[in-house]
Amino acid sequence: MPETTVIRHPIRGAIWGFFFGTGLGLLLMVLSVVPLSIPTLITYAAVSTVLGVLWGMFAPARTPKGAAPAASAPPPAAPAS
Amino acid sequence: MKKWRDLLLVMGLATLIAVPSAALAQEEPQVDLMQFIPEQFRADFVDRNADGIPDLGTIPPEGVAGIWDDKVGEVTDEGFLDAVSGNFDAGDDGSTLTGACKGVVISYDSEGLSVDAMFDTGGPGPLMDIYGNQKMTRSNPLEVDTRGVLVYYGSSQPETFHDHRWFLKAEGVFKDDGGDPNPRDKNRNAGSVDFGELLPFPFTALIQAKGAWVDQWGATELPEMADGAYPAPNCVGHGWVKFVGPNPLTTPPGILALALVAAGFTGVLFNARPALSWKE
Repeated sequence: MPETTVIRHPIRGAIWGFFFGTGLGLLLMVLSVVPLSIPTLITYAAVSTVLGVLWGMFAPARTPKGAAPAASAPPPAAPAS
Repeated sequence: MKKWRDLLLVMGLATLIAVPSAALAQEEPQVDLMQFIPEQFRADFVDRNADGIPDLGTIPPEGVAGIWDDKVGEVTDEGFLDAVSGNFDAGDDGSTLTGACKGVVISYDSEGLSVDAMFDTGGPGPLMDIYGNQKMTRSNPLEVDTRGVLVYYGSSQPETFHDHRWFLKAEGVFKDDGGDPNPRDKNRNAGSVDFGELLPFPFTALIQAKGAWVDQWGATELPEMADGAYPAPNCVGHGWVKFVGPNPLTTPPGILALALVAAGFTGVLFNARPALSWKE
């Protein structure tokens, strides 16, 4: 039975989380849901970056791509002398 | 069961019909700002959109400065206070303007139609709109069209400030300050701000603003201080301003926000999620 390993993406999570948080903060501001304020925007971006890192580390992992590799063949027998 | 369902349906329909019509009902103005405009100029300020706020006949051509001074700067202090007298409901403490300062502000869209107006009669009372509600609160901010014009009249009578200093700050966005020795003893002023020329693009945003104006402060920068800490006479205020443009999502900040949210959401969901991989 082939084994699997988890590959985590905290850096990607931080980057995409930063974009998402900045966009969300800006969107709420242009819709006048929250007041326009640079400190508020930084807070949204920072919190979302941290959540992105946590997501990249601990979110449910995706299933592996492709079929499991075939079991490696046994080494060839030594030639008879 | 069916009876209850029908009852809920009828109540829902009644609410859908009654609530928007109540919200859209135009409040009756308690202050006639037309009184504030000298009689010989009233023909230029007809109330075309029937909101009780005089509209502009035409926007002044580019480069014509001081046209507003001729129109609204002629009003006397007594005339102004007569024009804006009434019984008003100061409901909450979301905005203040204390001190001798008083005046009126009217904002217009790019067509010259009034968007909003407010006034202050000086003293400890808050800023008010012409319908008798406290103005510049978070729930009733002063609305300013980002492509329009704002006209104002202000007075510090009976005080006359000399060697004064002021600052105006939009929380977290910008701060501006200045001062004047005022050798000509001016204690009232009128003018206009053309946001269509001032701002690079239209947008919508709610902004908290604060400011102070202090007599005899000198040339040094005026700091933010607690209420009552500035030397008298002074004018100190804070409140909320809402810049309004076209559909917020079609303005440059709205488009940028949507693009960032879409990219960030897609990236978080499909690119940053941990993945299982087969061991070699």
